[in-house]
Amino acid sequence: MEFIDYYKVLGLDKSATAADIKKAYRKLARKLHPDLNPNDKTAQQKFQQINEANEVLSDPEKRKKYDQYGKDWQHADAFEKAKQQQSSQGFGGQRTYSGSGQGFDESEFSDFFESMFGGSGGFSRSGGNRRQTSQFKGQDLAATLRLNLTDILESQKQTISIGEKKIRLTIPAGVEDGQTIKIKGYGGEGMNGGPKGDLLITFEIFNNTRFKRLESDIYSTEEISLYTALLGGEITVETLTGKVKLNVKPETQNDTKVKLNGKGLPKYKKENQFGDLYITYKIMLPKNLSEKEKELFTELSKLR
Amino acid sequence: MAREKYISVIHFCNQTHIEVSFVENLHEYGLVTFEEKENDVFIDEKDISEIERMFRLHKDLSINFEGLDVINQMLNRIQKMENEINLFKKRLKLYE
Repeated sequence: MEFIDYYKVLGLDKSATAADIKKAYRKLARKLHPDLNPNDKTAQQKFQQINEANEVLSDPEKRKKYDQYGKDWQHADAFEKAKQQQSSQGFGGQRTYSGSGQGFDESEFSDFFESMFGGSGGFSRSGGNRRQTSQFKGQDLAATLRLNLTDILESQKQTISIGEKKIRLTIPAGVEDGQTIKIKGYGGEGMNGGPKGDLLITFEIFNNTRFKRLESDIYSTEEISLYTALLGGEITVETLTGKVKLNVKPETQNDTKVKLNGKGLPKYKKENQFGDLYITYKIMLPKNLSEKEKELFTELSKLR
Repeated sequence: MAREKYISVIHFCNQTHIEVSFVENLHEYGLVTFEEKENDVFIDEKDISEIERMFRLHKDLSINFEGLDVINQMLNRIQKMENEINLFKKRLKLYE
């Protein structure tokens, strides 16, 4: 357990007045409040620290004790008890004591705080200058689930283990890469009696196909020959669910895009709705022309 | 009105220890919408987390109701921009 410099936490020195402490605390609280910094764990931890620092430094009794014993906080209660013994009974033998006593079961404070103030009986949790802190729900736990793109063509059930708990999970078809779903109440314990946090599962979708994905639409490039592009013809293309035949129109230009309706990914949480497949044609020019071909192309070029 | 979608203000306040007057003030400032039925006032379940957030900000940081409105709007704009950035990142991947 480490000593915490509460003055440093609030950016103050020991000579700070009560007004300085109030001002510094309010300024930092506005900056670090968890509701203004969602998903920022560092800000949440710092907010907890400034609350604790304010709890001590804004209470004259606690501040006095903190200032008096500083880094020797572990012996604070022993000194106090020894003093009392000396004044009431004169010098006696050395007494043993229990340093931490009955701590408060409040997890928003550090072990250092609990040890120094928790069991001393020096203040009332509900009275005096104690500032009532808000109830915050427990920390959200994060997990990542990796799936292949071909795994999300249909909804599927999976069982995942979180500690000792097993959770049955239905993964909806068409879930997005980086999408997070929330499972309520499977996170950490709440603060000040707040509700439990949530379990956040983020999906990492590995694209194991040749298609590029944008939401439920997919994109691919198909090479077609010069002759198919000029004269038209039938080609076979791959989709996520198998091969399909496509008619290429005569005089198709390079980079022409065609859309195959409903051949994309399932739309997230929209039953029987699918995105589209967009195919871009790349016309491949013939190489290593024979003399005859050169002759014919030359002849063709003269017609234009 | 779907029964499971709305919660009575009184029930919500009893459960969360948020003062009814606070929720009424939110309504006065247009920060929450009430549904009235059979002499009772209800709030939409989807507004609950926002009401709780506004209560914490009001209590912890002494933010007044005008301030809560500004913060809500700014947070919503940030959320919208984050969503857009994510979408743009995905679109850029098409050209990689």
